[in-house]
Amino acid sequence: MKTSLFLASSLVLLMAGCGVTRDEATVSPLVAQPREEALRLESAQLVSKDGAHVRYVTWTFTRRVPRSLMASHVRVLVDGSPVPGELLAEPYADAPTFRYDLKGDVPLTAPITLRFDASVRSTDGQLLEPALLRSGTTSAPFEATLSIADMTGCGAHCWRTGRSPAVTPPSR
Amino acid sequence: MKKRRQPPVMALVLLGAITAAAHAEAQPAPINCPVPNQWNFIPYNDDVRRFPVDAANAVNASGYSPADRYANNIDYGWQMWFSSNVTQVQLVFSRFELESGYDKFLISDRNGTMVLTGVLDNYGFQTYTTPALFPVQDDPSYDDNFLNLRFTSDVSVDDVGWALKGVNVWCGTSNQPALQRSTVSQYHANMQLNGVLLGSGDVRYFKTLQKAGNGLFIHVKPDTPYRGRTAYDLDLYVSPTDPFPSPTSNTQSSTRGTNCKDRPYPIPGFTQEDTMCEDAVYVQPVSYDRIVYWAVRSFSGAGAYRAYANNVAKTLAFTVGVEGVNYKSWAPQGQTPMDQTQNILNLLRASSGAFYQATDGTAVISRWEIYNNVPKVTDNVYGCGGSPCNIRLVTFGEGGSCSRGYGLGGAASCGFSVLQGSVYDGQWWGNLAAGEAALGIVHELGHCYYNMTDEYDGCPPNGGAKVGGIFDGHSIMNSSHREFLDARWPTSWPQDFCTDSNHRKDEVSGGLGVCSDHQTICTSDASCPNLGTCDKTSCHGSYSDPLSGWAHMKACSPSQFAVYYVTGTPDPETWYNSDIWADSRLTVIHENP
Repeated sequence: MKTSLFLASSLVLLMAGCGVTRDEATVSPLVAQPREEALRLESAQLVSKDGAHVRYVTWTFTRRVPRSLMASHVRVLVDGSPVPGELLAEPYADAPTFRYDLKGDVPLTAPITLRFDASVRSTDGQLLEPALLRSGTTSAPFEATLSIADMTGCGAHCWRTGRSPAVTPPSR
Repeated sequence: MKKRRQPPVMALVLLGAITAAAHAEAQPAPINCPVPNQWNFIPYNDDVRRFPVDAANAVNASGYSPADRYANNIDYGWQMWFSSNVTQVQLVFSRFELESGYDKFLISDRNGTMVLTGVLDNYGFQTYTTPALFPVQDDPSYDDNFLNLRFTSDVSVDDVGWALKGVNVWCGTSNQPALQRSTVSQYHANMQLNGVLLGSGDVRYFKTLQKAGNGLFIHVKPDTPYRGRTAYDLDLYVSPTDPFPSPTSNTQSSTRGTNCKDRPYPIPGFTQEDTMCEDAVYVQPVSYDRIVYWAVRSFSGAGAYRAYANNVAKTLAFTVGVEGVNYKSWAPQGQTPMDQTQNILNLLRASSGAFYQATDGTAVISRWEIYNNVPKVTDNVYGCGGSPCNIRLVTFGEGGSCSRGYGLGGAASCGFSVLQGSVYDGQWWGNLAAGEAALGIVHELGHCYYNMTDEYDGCPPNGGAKVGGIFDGHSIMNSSHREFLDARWPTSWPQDFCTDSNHRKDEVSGGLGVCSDHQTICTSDASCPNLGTCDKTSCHGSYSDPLSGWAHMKACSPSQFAVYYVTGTPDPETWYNSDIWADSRLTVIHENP
């Protein structure tokens, strides 16, 4: 069971975990669906390979973003502190999807926050729209916090396979 | 098998241009690259979606989608063979997106293994071409010239995967003599040999060990067709004595042309005429081990093939009783009676193909005995030659079932003979396409012949109707009607009996009568078998179902696996070629008076 997280309607993005509802399977795939005009965070997920620790965090924007820019404009925080790791070296060019591999054993129970710099721009120059970050309606407009609050009892094999569910765009 | 037309003019021109090698006067030799000293592109279309897709996240449950993602726990290896003039190769991917670091495409050449992973196609914005690869050429006395390919996915997280569009080949030599490969072909994973031929007249020689008592079924299939492909046509020549079988020296051959009705499912935008028919030869068993030689030769054009040489250790015959009606003149109520013979023949031939498919080529149903208007078994009269019918074609709308199979006799009920059970089928009079109905027959044979359990998926806790769009995608015993009716192509749906390793590794079977996708309903860890853990309402474990999979088939039919025993992902090939299974030398259908 992968640790599949997606943006919820509050600051804390709840992890569906092993109990992910099957409804999510009905959304369009991340790669194939047409990108929207605005640059926003489309989805994010935690991935575990052992059911106990977070191995990496991955997120997808609605548009391509230069990797060189992303490397210096995102921070991954655990309990508010930066967590050691590295942005995946691929893709080499601009991409909609990025991955941050965590170094060390970060337990699945720890809340992980993606904090983007306000100057994140898409390849074609569009600024990240905080209003389109569902979590971004409070004091931290460019943060998305991922947690696994509802994963208790999953045991040693609790990660869900499959892709990250896309997030329904919020109403404007 | 139909015979075909004269060679096209281009083929004659190219054949005439071949310089005969001194070593190989008597047999056709590999041709040279069309353009020397530079890369030559040869189409070779293959796609990760030939393997099981991530069914739970399938984009379109009713049809193939290019955005579908590969399943987890795949491990499949095969080889890619080249003509002996080819010295360097590049693989050209039109798509390459795997979970980086965890899911891998491995290519082994003579210098080692290259591991491809992650996103190499810039998310669909460009193709990816590998660096030059140097095919393995182990022994100069032979003609070994191949790459080992392998695709693996781990236990979690998938992606859209890879798609090959072709290979670039570079001929560093020319006019190489025709030589055999050094090893027999049965010892690499999954038995699949892929390859490309450079043009008309090009040839690749193979050899396979035919074990004593086994039939040997050799197939040459085209690569996956695609819109706009240039037509090509390859042939198969076989001989147990001549190491270089040819059009003039063979004991069996298959020279089918194009435009066969091989494809079970339509492919959008694809023209049937564009693709060669599958060539196949069945070599009868002999009482001793021997080498069988075979050649794949291009009759016209350059293109790719997938070849299999399957030792068939189990040959089966089943009886079929049409229960309570005369199939020579019958129709469901309200319809005009008609002769249903052709519908039955179509179903049985399709079932032959589906059974061969499900067993990965280890077993063949070579004979069906049809009995007309047999009494109901409840009358305690055995209508098929005085014995219970293995298959009972009934008229009361039975989708399919197995009586007295799994569960009623425990492990002792392997085969029909012990408990005298039957497969019931109510889809034989054309109310369902033969290929689809055949999947039901084979599923029930899984129960009645191999004693396998169901592996239903998608059942909510405490039973009830399946939830739409849920399927686990790993075996033909995942038997809900929804899976059987899927019309995907290339087929990526469960049509094999499962191997132990392709069970979903994190789940266990619920066992008999439990609505399960290898999950047992539970309330706590203590209520899960075999030290499984309880996630909300479903048990999870790390072991396979002891009453399913190849190990269990082997227990029921040990001789079936005398030569090889599939240990990885089952081959994703389909064997529904109706022309081949209609060949009376392969499938005898006898109508009893």
